[in-house]
Amino acid sequence: MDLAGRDPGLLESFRARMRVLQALMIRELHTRFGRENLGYVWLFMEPAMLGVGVGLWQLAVRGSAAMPGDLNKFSFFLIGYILFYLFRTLVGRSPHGIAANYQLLYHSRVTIEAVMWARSLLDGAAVAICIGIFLIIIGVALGDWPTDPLQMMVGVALMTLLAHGTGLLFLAATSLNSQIVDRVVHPFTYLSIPFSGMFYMVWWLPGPMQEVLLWSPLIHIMEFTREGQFGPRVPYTYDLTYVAFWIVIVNFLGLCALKAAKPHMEH
Amino acid sequence: MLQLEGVYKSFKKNGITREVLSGIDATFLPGDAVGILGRNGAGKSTLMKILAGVEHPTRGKVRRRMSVSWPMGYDAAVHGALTGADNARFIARLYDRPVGWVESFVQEFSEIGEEFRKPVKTYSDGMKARLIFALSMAVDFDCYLIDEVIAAGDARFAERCRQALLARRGRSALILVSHQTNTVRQLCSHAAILHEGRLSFHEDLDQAFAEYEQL
Repeated sequence: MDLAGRDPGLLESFRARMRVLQALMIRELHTRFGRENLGYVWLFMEPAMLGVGVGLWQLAVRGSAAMPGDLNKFSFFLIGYILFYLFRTLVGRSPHGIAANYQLLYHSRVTIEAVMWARSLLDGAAVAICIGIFLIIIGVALGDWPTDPLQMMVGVALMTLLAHGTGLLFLAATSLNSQIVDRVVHPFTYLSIPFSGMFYMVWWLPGPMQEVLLWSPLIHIMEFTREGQFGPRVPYTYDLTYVAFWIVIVNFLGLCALKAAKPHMEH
Repeated sequence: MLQLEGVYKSFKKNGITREVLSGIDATFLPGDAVGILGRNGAGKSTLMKILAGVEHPTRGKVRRRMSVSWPMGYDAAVHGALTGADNARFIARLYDRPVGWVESFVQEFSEIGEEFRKPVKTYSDGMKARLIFALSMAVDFDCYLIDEVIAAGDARFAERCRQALLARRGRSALILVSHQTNTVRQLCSHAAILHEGRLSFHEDLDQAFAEYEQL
């Protein structure tokens, strides 16, 4: 906006928002990881360590039994977990999104929405890079290259959007009672594990069970991403229209709820 | 232009709702220098936070048609874990100013010296205040929000702040909150009194002060 109080054009106001988002993302990197020691590497290390951990655990538990469709056990659970991690971390951190960054709101250009976007984009990008690195390692070490890496990245983007909207809802709910939200969000992310498709594929399951689980949009994103990973070796079950529907709904409701909640949030 | 229209703000604590602002109307234009006087607990900092966009009114509208500074006097505008230089670069990116220029301007204006490359949490209160003020000068806001705290502390720097703000009078708007009339007299051309959740404007400073003294 200029001195005369004219509204800026659409393009200029979009550019201004992008600048704010960029500044917030760089700052988030600095405040979360600092410059000392490994610094930014932690951005990838956290999902990487957890993913490798889950991968190794599943290798140990499942022993020599082959996976249905003869998929690579380690890369199946490793990538599956990292994708779920994105959902867990974005939703899990959302109630504290503002308390940890309240200083930012002292700048009138910075909105709560922008702070949340900066974090979602940063974590989404980190997980995308993390998955990319592992795909290369797995390809080089085992000769098992992904069929369609681009499709996998679209999967990461869809997961980011779904988690972002869900996070907005939790954040808005903190204005009603932040203690309850704090206690509920952890079980929510934990209990969504069985509905994420992380440990199984839909075609492994009996029909009635498939029908129930397919209500969860997480499973659709997981199956879609795995199709990019393993290709036409096994069947996949997903509906991108259904995923898009969920993304639009949670983001729309999240923004409305946040707008209603703002007057009751204290900083 | 910065405009408040029928702004109400209430807080809920332990199930009890307390109304702090009860219908505030105000318009601030570039060139205005307004001192807002209010006793302790009158809601000065709440009003400041609403002007800055930190908090949102329970009811009513805020229109911000000029760039508004963070409320000066709180150290919330900077991040303690980041260095002075990091904070300067963030502000430069956020407000679209040349990064290198902001960095050198802030280092010089704040007179922090080599500490500029150290985390803000290691600064003394005086250094922090100087950094925050220098940052706001680097951005060149259309409207400055100032808490009385800035008038306190290091006398020499307070005088520099006052000079810098006076130099800006005319092109930037200045909104100062205080419970002391002499701070308002030094910087402002007119005054408003915040009392019982409402804001009343006075063109004449002396008249405003006289009324304020009787509260």
